[in-house]
Order: sequence, then C-alpha cells, then structure tokens
Amino acid sequence: MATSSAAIGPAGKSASRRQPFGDEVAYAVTWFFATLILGLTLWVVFELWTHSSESISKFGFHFLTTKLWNPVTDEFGALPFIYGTVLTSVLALLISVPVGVGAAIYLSELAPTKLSNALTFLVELLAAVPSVIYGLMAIFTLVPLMRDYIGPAVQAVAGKLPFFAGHVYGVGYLTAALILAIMIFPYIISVSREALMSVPRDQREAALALGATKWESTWQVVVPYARLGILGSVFLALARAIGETMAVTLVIGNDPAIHASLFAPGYTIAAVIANEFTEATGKVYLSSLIELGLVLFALTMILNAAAQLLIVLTTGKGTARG
Amino acid sequence: MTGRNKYRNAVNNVMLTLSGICAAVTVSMLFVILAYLVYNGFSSLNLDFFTQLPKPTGQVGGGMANAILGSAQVVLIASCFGLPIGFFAGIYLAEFGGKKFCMLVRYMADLLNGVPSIVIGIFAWTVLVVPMHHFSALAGGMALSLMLIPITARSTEQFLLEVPRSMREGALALGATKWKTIATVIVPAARHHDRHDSGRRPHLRRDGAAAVYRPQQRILEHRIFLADRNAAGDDFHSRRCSLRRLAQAGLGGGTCPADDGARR
Repeated sequence: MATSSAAIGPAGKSASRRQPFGDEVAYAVTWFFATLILGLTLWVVFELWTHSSESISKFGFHFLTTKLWNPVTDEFGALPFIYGTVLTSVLALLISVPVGVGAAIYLSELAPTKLSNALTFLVELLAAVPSVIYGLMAIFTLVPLMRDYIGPAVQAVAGKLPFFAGHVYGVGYLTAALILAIMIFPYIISVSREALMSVPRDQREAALALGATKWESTWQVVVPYARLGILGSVFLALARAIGETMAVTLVIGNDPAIHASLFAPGYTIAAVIANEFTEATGKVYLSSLIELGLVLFALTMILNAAAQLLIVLTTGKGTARG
Repeated sequence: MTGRNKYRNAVNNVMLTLSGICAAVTVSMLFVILAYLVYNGFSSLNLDFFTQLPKPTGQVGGGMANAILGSAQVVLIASCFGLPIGFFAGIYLAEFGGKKFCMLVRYMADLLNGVPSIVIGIFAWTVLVVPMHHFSALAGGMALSLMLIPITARSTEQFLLEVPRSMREGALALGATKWKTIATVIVPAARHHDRHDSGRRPHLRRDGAAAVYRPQQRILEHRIFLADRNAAGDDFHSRRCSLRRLAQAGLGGGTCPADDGARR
C-alpha cells in the first residue's frame, strides 16, 4: 500500500523517475504477448502446410475429390473423411438445435430464476465431461440400442429409402451424430439462453399486452429478437462438432468409404488422424494425414469467418442491438 | 373466434410443455452419464487406483497412478505457459491496443480457439516431438497451453473491459501511470467485480457478440479445470487396457493433444 501511494503521489522523486519507463515496459511486454498469439496461429498454419507439402505436390487438388484411401499403394484422397465430417456434424445440428433451443426457451422464459440457473449449471457440466467418456458410454449403451432396437424399428418403417438401407452394425454415421448432438447441447443451450435472457422485458410485455399468448410472444417476438445469439450458438456448436475426435472415433465405425445409408460405418477427418497418425509409415502417408489436419483447419477458418460476417451483417442492420 | 382462441391456447400449452420436456431431456443426460460411471466404476475405486501402476493385462489389481500424475504434470505445464501469455495479451487487447491490430489479434485468438484439438496435436508433434525425438509431458503441456492462451486472453479482455471508466480516470487523475493503474486498480477491480456482479453486466447484455462469447467462455472454463488430457486416451491407444478401467478414470481426458503429444 505504501509503495503504491508513493507512486501515485504527485511529487515522489522515485515515482517520477520510474513512471515513463514503466509504461513503455508494460506496453512492450503486453504487445509482445499479443503478437505471440498472432504468430502462434500463423505458425500452426505454416507447420501444417510445410509438413503436408509432399502430399500436396503429389495429389494437388485431387486430394479433396478422391475417394481412395490406400496406404499400401500410397494413394490418398480426403473425400470420405470430409463427407463423414460434414454429414455427422449436420445431422448432429439437426437433432441438437430444435431440442437445445426448446430447452433454452424453457430455461429463459418459463423456469424460475433459481431453477433456471441450477439447470443451466448442470447442462454446462455436460461440456466438462471428457469426450472419451461419451465415446465409451456410446459403445456400451447407444451402439447396442441402435443395433437391436432403433435400427430395425426404423428399417421396418422406412427401410426402402437409401438413407436407412443396409445392414445395421450399431456403429455408423447416425450413432456418431447422436453422441455429437448430446455433446453440443451445452453450447447451444447456454449461449441461446443468454441471448434470450438479454431480450428487454418491454418486448415481451408489449406482445402480451397486444393479446399474444405466452408462446406467441416467445416465438414471434423474443426468439427473432435474439436470433443473432442463437445463430452464434449454432456456429459454435458446429465448430465443436467438426473438430470432435475421440467420441466420434469410437462409434463411427472407421470405414474410409462413402455410404448413403446413415446406419453404415464411416470415418471423419479428426478420427482418421487420431487413429492412424502414430502408425503412419511412409512420408506420403504421414503428410496426407497432416494435410487432412490442414483441411480441418480450413473448415474451422471458413466457419469462423462466416460467423464473424454474420455478426457484422446482422449488427450492421441493427436488429440485435436494443 | 372462440375456436381460434382455443386453438391458440392449445398451441401455447403444447409448445411450452415441449420446451420443458427438451430441458428435462438435456439435463437428464448428465445424470445418466454420472449414474453410469458410478454404477460401473465405483466398485473398483480404491486407494490402489490412485497410488499403483497399471498391471499387465490379465493381472488383477493395479491402478492409474502414472496417468493421474501425468495429467497433473501436463495441466501444470500448460498453466505455466498458457495463463501468463493469455493474461498479458488480454491486458494489451483491453488497455493498450490500437484498433486494427487488436481486431487482427482478436480474430486470430478466436480462430485458434476454434481449431480442433487434434490439429493442435499435429502442430505439437511437428514442432516438439519430432525435434526432441520422443513424446513427452512437455509436448503435451505445450499443446494444451496453446489451447489455453486464446481463452485466457479473451476472458481477461472481457473482465477488464467491464471495469467502469470512472475508475481508470480516477486513478489517472491522481497521477498514476498507465501500468500502475492497470496493476493496482483495474485488474483487482476486474477480479472483484466479476465475483460480486456476475448477474448484471449492462454493457454485455446489449452486445450480441458478447452474449455469444460469455457463456462459451464459461463452458470452456469448466472444461479446462476438469479436463486432464492424459489419463484415458493415452492408455486407450497405446496399451488397449480394459475399457471398464478407462471409464473409471472418469476424471480423465479429452484426448487429442495428449494422444499425439504426450504419449510416453
């Protein structure tokens, strides 16, 4: 305390000697660390790029459009993995967004504050469960359930459709999507709830005063008002789903092929890296896996840019600002 | 007219009930997981689990001491590097930065935050494991710290920006230099402020981007404190030890950087 008041005091000799210098140092130090973030991110891209150079020079753009993945003949294509990643993520969103937004509506509009806070805390804990636990749980519970009950039941109704055709192994796109959906619940619920709660009270009251039912005021006034936040939660969840590794690896079936059927086993980018990275023999094999990492990075970057653009566009039009 | 009103009321009731069911379903997931872990894992949780090394497959007994210690090491290393870097970068973003450069750093931090952990793992492998010629806790810790940095930086920035302007101006008006103001007024106030006023953050409430950011960061904080990224994944791949035992390591980790970086 004594030292700080001496430094703040107007006439302290030591203070006046130190002052200008301290500011420069603080600026330099914090600037250095901020630049470090910039540098590290660029470094990640650089490393991925240089280490995948062999695969890039050998396959070029065909890498992204080839279905073949054959370590024996050193021929590699990323298409099955990109397909698997996109399919499982989108399916997960289709399941998770309606349920998650519904839960967020309950938590922000209906539940008493204390209950809402308690439940939200529990839902957020769901995000803290390590992904490998999800994977194991899915192996022991979801996979048999899918193989013995859900799969046959769905096929009895809609087995003619190509999406549900074929043998049900239990592991596959749909199982992975289900576990992903559970994993991204907390992101959707927590962020959407925050967005819904930030809608001003008078918006709700005005709708109710005009004779709207509670649901009408929620769905036609509150939700559109909070749509930026809700969309943000969707992007966030999508980013998580795309990068998710361990849980998906355990239940997707690990088959580098493209199937229309949702019950068929597939593969995702993150899963193939996790499975084969430390076992990759040969330079082209390894650099192909690293190029897959680069593709994953690019996907993240596109998503991130889209989310930023969305925020800029929407706030530019002034919808989400009160 | 009454018919229409009846319909509207019915829709109202159905939809509101549905939203309640959604909440019940999602929350019950956590309890299902917890119940499953306790039911299947509690019986073999004893002192040996924490103090013994794993026995070879087929042998009875043993524990996960190596994995637990490894997790602690990795988290410690990650915190040593990740937290200070993120903290100072956050101070720069909130207090010093120019507009354009800050936007660039923010974008990069958000990008780094979104990069899948498996990609960070590859990076740690090329930068640390290959030159050092072996997997190490250091590599795993560094990979994890790379994931810590952007989160720490952006949270620090948010906390500091919540400190009212008047406090800065007060300190500066008393003759404090900028860094003195930051070190003795703003940072302590940010700590204080967050603990006591977590319910009401007027300027955050109005900003859509921040409304998105805030809960995300809270979620990630849960994740960091609870994630130890070594225990389960390491063994799963290298030793294929029994799945049951891995489930018991309920504290154990999202695996990717550890998997590529910290295998020993």
